[in-house]
Amino acid sequence: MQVELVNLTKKFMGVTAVNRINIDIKDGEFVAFLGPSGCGKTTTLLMVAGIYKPTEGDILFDGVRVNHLPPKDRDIGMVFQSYALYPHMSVYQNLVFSLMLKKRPKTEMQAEAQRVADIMGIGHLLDRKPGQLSGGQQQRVALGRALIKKPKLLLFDEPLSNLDARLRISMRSEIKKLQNSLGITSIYVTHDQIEAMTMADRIAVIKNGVLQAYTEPEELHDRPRTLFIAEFIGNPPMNLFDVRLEDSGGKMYANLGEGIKLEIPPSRKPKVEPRGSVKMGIRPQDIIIDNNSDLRTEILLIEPMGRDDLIVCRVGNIEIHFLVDPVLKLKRGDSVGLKFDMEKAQFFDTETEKSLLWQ
Amino acid sequence: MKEKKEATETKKLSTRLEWFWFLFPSLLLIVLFFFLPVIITIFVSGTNMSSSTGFNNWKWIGLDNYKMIAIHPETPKHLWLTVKYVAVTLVFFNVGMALVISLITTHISQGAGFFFRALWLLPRITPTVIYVMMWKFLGANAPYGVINQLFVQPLGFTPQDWVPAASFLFIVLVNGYIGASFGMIIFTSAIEAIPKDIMIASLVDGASFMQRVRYVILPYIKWPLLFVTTYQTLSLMTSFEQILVLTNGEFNTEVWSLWAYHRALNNYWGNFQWGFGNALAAVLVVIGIILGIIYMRYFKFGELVQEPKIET
Repeated sequence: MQVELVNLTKKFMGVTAVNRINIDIKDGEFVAFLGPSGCGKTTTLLMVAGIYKPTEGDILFDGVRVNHLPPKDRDIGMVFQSYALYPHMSVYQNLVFSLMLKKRPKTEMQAEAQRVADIMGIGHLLDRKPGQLSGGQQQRVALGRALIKKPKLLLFDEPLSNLDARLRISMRSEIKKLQNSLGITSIYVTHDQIEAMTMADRIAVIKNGVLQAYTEPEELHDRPRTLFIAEFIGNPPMNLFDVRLEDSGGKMYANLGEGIKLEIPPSRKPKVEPRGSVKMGIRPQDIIIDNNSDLRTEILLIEPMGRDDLIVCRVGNIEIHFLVDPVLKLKRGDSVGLKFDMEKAQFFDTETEKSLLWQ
Repeated sequence: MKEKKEATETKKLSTRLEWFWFLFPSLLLIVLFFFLPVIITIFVSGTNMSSSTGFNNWKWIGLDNYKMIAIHPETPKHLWLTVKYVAVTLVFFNVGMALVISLITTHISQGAGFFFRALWLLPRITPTVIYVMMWKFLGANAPYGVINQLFVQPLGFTPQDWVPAASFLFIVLVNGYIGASFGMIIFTSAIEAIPKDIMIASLVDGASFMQRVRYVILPYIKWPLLFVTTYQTLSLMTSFEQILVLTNGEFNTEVWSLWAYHRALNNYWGNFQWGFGNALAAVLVVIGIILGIIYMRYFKFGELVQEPKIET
């Protein structure tokens, strides 16, 4: 099913929770709504589900306006962070609840329950109560309950947030595979940028009820259009410096202060005329150790992350984070030279927080 | 070494007694105001104590009072009335109406819900006598009374004395309007404690309002339902003050507890049969205990009780 949100707005007693959001979702697409808590992503999802009525704007399913259609008539399945299984019903009863409400024959209910139980691998749990299941099993049942209706649209409200880290990773790929094979249009709400990046075809970044960007994961990561996106996407987070742009001898330099001056390659020259000082961003993986460099610093802190070590160091008042290979066996207090890969640098206007490179 | 052993033993003793000090305050109240009165009631019910014997010339008469209850010509009348009164008030008001109000007021806007619930609390916070007087004015003798003046006469019907004419309805309404607010408060908080996601899930699954009530809300508030049903059955069985003020047991409204009160403490003939009255009260206690056990069995009380979360 194709979904379109047009100027969607929701106000709660005068407070705007969602502000004129425009999103179009293609049939079979997997879209993530990404943003910090309280940004309006769940409110948007609940409007799509029909729990909240939009204050302004339209929701279109396959081109038909559904603003006032009740949830049960929207052909949707929903999965929650809290699983929201009915605790007094067995797994089987939870699965077939929607069919039972429609008074479908018992044989059909059993067949359908068997079908989704096979997909989700929960056949052996049908007689148990939700309270007797682990978190991962409960989430499988919740997914099965959403799938049994053969929905045209699947809504996920932070479904993996209550699971432990390992399970989250395996469920992540499982949901992605399931969505791929069933081809059901899906909206996935999360505050976890890794989840959004790994699972979604396109990501809608939302902040304070406003859509910041709606694009592919690589695009968000490599060409962030606002400072917020640059800070929010990517792990570990991007380094941000206040810099002054200086021209000399036909070349452009970024002056970080503390005597650090970096040459900006032509490909990264700001396309918009900057006003005074700007923000420069560079990801920790784009700073490398180069002992021939003039930029020398002492290591303050080492955070081993397994594949990489995250190094924190300081030049004057400027703190720099970068990743190194653990085989270098660097220690606290070691002196190293740094080289910035300026082909990966980002520049943002300090006031508007918009990118000076990608407009 | 020896000292250490003694210390651990004193510690053991104090932990063994800890539970006692936790229970002591409530234990004291239960013993003073429940067990002792019940024992006194049963003790007096075995005597012929009355105002004519006084406190000095009474005799043990064993189970004679109970035998008298069994063969008393008025027993079936009072018993049937009590069963009817408790059942009707409980089903239609103390549980039924309470459930309806809490379901409705939790599904409308918060402000309106709060307002209606506050209205329903008025009968409970009004002093009994004033509250019952208002009902008396409602149903006062023809041609007076709110019902006669505002409805019956303008519509061209013959005014009548409503309390005697519909005495059973009146005692049910008078008690029901007070009783409903108790369940209302308990049910409302229980319904509001149902996780929002569960409600959303049931909406997405396609449940209508009535289906949601039946399959989601009622199972969720099973424990408060048991509590209110049990508590209100017992309290209706033993409460009589509204009926006392409204009709004083006239017009066939003498429920069992009022009968006990009249026999033991306040009657026209002036002979207060303490022994017989206490036997009537003891019957209520026994019925109450039996009903309590039946309720707990029926609602599977044992399954509702959870294992303690902290081991001792």
